Amino acid sequence: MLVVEGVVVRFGALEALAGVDLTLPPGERLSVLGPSGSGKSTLLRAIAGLEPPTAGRLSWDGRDLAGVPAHARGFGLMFQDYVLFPHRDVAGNVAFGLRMRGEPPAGQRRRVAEVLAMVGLGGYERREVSRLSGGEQQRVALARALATEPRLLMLDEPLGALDRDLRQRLVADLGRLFAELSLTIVYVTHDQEEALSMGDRVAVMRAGRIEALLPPGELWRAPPSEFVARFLGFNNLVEPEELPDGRLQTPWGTFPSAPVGPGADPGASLVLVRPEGVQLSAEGPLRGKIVARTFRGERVLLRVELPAAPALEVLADWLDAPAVGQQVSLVIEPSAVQLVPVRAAPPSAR
Amino acid sequence: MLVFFVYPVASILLLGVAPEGRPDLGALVAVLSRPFVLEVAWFTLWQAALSTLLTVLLALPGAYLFARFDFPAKRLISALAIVPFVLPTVVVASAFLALLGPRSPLNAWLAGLLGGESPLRLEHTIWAILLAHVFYNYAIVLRLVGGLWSQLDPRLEEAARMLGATRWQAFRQVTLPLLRPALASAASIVFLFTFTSFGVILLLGGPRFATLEVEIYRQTAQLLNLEVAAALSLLQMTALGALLLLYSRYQARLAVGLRLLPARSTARPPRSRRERLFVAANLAGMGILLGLPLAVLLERSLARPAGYGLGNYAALFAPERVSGLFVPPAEAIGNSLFFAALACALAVSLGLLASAAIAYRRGPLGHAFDALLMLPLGTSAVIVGFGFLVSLGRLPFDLRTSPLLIPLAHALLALPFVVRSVTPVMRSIDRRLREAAAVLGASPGRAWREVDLPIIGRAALVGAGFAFAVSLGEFGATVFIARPEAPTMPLAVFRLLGQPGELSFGMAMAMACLLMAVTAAAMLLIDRFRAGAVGQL
Amino acid sequence: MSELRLPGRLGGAPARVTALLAGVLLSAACGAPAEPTQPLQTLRLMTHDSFSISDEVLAEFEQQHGVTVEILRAGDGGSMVNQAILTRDAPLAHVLFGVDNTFLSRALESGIFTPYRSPALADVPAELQLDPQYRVTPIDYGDVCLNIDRSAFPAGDAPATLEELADPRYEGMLVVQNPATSTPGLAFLLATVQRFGEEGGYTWRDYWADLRANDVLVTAGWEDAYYGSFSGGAGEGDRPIVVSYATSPAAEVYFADPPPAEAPTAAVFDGCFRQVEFAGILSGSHAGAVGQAFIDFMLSTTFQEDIPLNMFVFPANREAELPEVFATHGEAAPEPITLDHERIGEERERWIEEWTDVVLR
Repeated sequence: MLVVEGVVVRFGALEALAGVDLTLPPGERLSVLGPSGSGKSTLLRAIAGLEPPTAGRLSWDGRDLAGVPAHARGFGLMFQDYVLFPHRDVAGNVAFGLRMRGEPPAGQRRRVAEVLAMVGLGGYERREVSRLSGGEQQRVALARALATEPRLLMLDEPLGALDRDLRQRLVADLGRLFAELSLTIVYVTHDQEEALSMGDRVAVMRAGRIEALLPPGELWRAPPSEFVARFLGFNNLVEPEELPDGRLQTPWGTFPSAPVGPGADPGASLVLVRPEGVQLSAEGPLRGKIVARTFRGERVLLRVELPAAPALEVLADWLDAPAVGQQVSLVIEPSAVQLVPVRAAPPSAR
Repeated sequence: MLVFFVYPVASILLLGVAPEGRPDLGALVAVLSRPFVLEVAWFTLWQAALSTLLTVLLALPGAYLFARFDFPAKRLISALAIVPFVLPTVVVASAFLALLGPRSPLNAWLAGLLGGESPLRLEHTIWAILLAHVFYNYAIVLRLVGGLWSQLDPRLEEAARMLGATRWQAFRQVTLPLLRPALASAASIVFLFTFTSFGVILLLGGPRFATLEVEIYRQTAQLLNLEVAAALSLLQMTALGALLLLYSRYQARLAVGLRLLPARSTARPPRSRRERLFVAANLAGMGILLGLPLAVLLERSLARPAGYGLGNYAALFAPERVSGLFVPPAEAIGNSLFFAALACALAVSLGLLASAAIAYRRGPLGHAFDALLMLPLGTSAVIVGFGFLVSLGRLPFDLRTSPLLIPLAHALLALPFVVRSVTPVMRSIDRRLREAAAVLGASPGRAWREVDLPIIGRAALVGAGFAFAVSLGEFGATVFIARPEAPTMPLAVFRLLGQPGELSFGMAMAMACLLMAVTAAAMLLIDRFRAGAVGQL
Repeated sequence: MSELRLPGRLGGAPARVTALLAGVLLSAACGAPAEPTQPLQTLRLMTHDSFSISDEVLAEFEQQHGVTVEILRAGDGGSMVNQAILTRDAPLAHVLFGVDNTFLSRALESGIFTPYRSPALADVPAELQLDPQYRVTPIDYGDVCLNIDRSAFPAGDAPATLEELADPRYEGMLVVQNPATSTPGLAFLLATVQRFGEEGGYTWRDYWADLRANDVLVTAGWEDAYYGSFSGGAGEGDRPIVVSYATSPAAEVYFADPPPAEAPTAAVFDGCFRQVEFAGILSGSHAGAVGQAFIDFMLSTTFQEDIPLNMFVFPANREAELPEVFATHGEAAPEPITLDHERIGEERERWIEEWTDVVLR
């Protein structure tokens, strides 16, 4: 079990980690989500032992990791752009950790073949790494990290450089693989879909702190802060005015009081209208012009500009979605309305 | 380093500056403000700067050629390019005279064209000095810059061109800045060599030219004028020390994390007409600049009174002719190779350690260390030697127990080459590679061995090549050390050139050619080693 | 004949740093002279780069006296003497060979030698014995003479005297060495000083001014003059007159394959400067009887007869027989120029300075 307590990492004046607390039970998969510069990679590097914390404590199964150098921690780390050894071939890269452990050559070969097969690169042993495609390099890096069966596997934006299609396929592959191997995983990404699909829990980071730490369903259902909501892709957010009868008045209409995310202060909350709860209709209180269409698989996200209110995003069926430039009327279902705190509650309140 | 360099030099300088035990700064200033001193210093500076600039400019296309193109006999040509490095100045001067001298075919042709008697008179002009400096130092730029260039991703330049840069702009804006560490490295060595140039100045420049080095030698060895010599040495060392410190800071600033590529993936045969033309023109240029003088030496070694033949070589193997002066070539080759191999191994292992200290430890201490390593190259030998003489009596060392003395001396000289070729690459290594190794369970030392070492292997071998060549061509030490029964090849050349006679000259040329052949063969072997054991990079 | 040896390649610092460094270290390693009470195991001979002698000859001495002879080469003549002076208190070797009359006074004044009068001096002509206190012993002598390329003077109109060199007929034909960096160059300068004198209507400075007007070429050392600028023998140059040695024509014959009947070059016997090379026992080296025996040995006919073909100079012992090639092609100058070594010591630096002003600046 990994325990991170109040870890701070400072680079000169810059505080890359501003006090992170985290507990990771064995077998759990934790996604770390956040915009670039939020401290995700630094967190990984601190756990890996590559970046000594300025303050705070890291421990594994109760044992302080402070004096344990990176190579003795038994953790695996897959780097953002793989950092394969350019002077070794595929097998040389994958076997590296095994060699460091003093595994005999025969055992190394067997294990290399095994992990390469696992990542779908059977027979690639003698290939030169600089000649592999991005996806293949990613798999080699993964195989290299997996080969020693680390007690904690950390992946830093492992799919970042890959195209969307490949990424989606690999997310599924990885998920299955991790489940099969029942590894303890820290998975860093800036892509919310990836984070939500990979993690048993998702930590959202902001400016060196963990802003939210929730199972993916909960996070999606009730974002604990405006920042999290926006980062998850919710843009229909507006400041409401609370009427004396408790109803909430917004430029999009007046709604009955809505549920509030856990631990939030209702006084400083925004109204969130989930885009799947806005219907296109022939008649409606809101009329506007479609200015953008974004493909979302089966559905399509429409951005509708309204004359007297902020634009609204609407999730519509692909087949009957109107074209850009068309005028539409909108109806907001009451169930689509909820409150999101402007600021997350302090950690102690969670 | 401290014992073998700093202490003796300080001793002799003190003797010069403070003959009465008290430093006499007034006298020092008086010496330094003499007009002839200023003249010599100024000449030393500008000829070195000009030589360095010329060498870099002329060798840069060659570096590009070797980095980016595959062509027949590439390895051989690259091995031959370093040969000038080991040749004694006298031999080179005679080759230059044969090519450009009053009796050369070129002059005869020019005379027919322009009239007059031998219109081209380069000997004893600044041009001869510059030409010789380029000839000697071409390989430094070719190897140091070409080495890094061959590992730069060609797509960087392609990317720039896709962004609308012309070929020239792409070079100026992308490639050149990335090459700067190697360029600065090569230029600093070339500058150091030309700044302290001695033989070339005396032999090709003639008596009207003098560098500080020449003047120091004259004042110490000939006139025993220690005051003047010490002042000049201080001037030379201060100038070079300041320059090296500057360089070392600049170098540290230049360090850019580079993803280096395997060299062989970046070179390809020329495809278009234009590329073929470039390769051909470049090779022709190298042929004229480097190849012709070497070819002339070969020609001279084969020349006999009655036509061409191997007689000069045969004479080398015929002991009865030249008893005491005689050096069987096989033995000289053996001695040379033995010294060179030892010196090379020493220089590489010490050089790697030194480079690591410089590359990983930033800050003023690293810079000073870097500069200090270069100083032996920039200090007049007479000063070091005489310094030893005066400081020796006070040291209680039993030097008898150190059979490594000669290779150690060679290694000290070769060290800067290793450091210069390795440090830029070492600085360029993505440190995350080491981190990747660490999280895979490699201790820091192991990670260095497993990751850095193989990657810098190529650069280290470039340095090793130079170390080998420095030792092979090194002459001075062997004059003193070599017992009559263990002379090296350059020494044999000198012994032979020291006596009159057609055969002596022919045999000297033959020995010089053997030296060339041994050097080229050693370079080829090192190149092969580089292609094999060290892997793809 | 100790010539400035220009080191290899760039010839710069690297070569010479190690040279002196390693040489001196090594010499220190083995050269710490033995305690006077112990019999000498190794006799160390400090000499210049040009020293050469047959192995068998040295072996003979080693056998007779049960010692090993080690050779320490200490650069050209000038730097050798200066090294010996600097290490006066803890000498690097027992015996020094190769100091010539141009450096003699500096060596004698600094007191680096212990007097020893070898009985073998009986066979040495008195004019070679320059030190009445016997601190140094003459071993060999050589004459620095003009050499001409015979093929350039088919009609026998080569210059026969120093004076003729200033004649416009010989314009652009002469190459000499810089006396500041070369021993034969210095010897030739001394010859002209002695011949033309310092005072009067036509001094040596006037003579050199005339040579300069006649386009004399100055090189740094003997090698580049002889092989670079001289047209005779294997030279690449176009100048048929060079400052070299009286024995050079003999060497041209000896080091040719096949040896020609007549040498391609010839020495001009007017204005030759006689260089005498001396050996001496270094004071404080505790060389003892073995050191004296070595001096005797160097004057023995065994050693003396080995000198000519190794160093191309003449043996000091008049009993030593000259090899045939010397007899036919390499006579010594009949009336060489000599100059008092003490005067050389006093004036040399000034002469070189003045020469530089007249010829180079």
